[in-house]
Amino acid sequence: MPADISMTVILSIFYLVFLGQIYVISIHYPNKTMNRIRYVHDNYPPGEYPKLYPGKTPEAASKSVLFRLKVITAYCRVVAVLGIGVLAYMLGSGYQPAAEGGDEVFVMLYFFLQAAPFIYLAIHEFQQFKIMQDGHKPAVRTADLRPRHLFDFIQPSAFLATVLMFVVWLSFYIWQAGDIASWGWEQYATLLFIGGANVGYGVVIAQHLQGKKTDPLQSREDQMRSIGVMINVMVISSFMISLFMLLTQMADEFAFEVFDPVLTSFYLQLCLIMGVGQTFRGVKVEEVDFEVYRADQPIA
Amino acid sequence: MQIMIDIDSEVPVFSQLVNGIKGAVEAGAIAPGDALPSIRQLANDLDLNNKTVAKAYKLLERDSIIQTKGYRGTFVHPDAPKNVGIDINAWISTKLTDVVGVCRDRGATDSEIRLAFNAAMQSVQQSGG
Repeated sequence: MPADISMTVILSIFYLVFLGQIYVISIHYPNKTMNRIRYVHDNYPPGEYPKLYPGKTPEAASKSVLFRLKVITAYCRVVAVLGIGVLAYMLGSGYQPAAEGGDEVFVMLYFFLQAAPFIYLAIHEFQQFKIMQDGHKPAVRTADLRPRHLFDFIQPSAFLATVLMFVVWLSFYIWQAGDIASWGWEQYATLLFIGGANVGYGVVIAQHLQGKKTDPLQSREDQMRSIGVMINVMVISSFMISLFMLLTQMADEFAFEVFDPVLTSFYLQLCLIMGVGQTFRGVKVEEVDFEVYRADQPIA
Repeated sequence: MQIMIDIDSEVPVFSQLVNGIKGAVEAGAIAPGDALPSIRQLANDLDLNNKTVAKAYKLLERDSIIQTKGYRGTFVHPDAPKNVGIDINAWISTKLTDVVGVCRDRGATDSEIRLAFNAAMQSVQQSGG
């Protein structure tokens, strides 16, 4: 632990950042998500927009949406209270982060509890789109005669910065790990994990550029907006994971491991701000074309 | 520029794609040098098999309406506006009508012409044509 930084300062920073994690992930973004779903539900009801509610009947699907909303809201509140409880316990018991690091595991475990509703919603959304795709096979189909390229959606400089960040992290990692002959499985596992994550980001980008629309009814403008947002989220995620790995390794190298929980908490919050937040900012619900989900007019 | 297909139409889907792209060139909606979507993108956007789009692109490439530049992608051919007017099916029909006419003038029967035509096709196929 650096000698000139007192434990009180370190703890104050940690409590502040962890409080931020509780607020951002268990209160702010769940509220935003729920408001967004409620806005869509209230303004585009199942009677007029049945295609927005795939399922046995639009009304049943709509009721199920409202029920899920209640459950998720309650879950997020419980997790937030739990987080505040943990924080109060830490304060009361005189907790001190381990100088050699390792306490970030608890921050991560708590994050997984917090992120569960977002993961659930993402899986549920995917399933809904699958039902939409199965039920939507129009005879007349249209497509754009323009190709979609990566740099139509992201600044080359942002992409280059991400590649550079990866190279910087990799160089630092190899330098820090020392002689390759002495590497253990941990070194190879880290490389495999980060490499795999980047390959995953690449696959998602390729899928969005060239693959089928996730929402088969989505208008062209909304599709382009969604692709842009998804690509930006993937590129930022890749940048962030390299930066996080670099910072934690630097903390190890320069004996700042005591900051690992702070760094981890801050990184996880940024992931959500950049992921979910970017999606909300990029695809504003008021700008989405919901007319594509309206009930078909009966043929006279 | 959008392309439209109707899978319930009697016209094969690959022909609709060929006609759609030719029509876009004719209308000036896409110009020589313009990039076209990849086979995978177009197939996924239209919810078609990749092979159907690949077949249409192959025919368009044969007719010099489009050209493929390796990994850079597919582009509208520089001579595409001139070539869209060329109907290869009409040209084949004219050529074969002439040949059949000459054969009949020489007294060949229809079955002799058919057998000769099949043999010629087979011979070209065997020689790798």
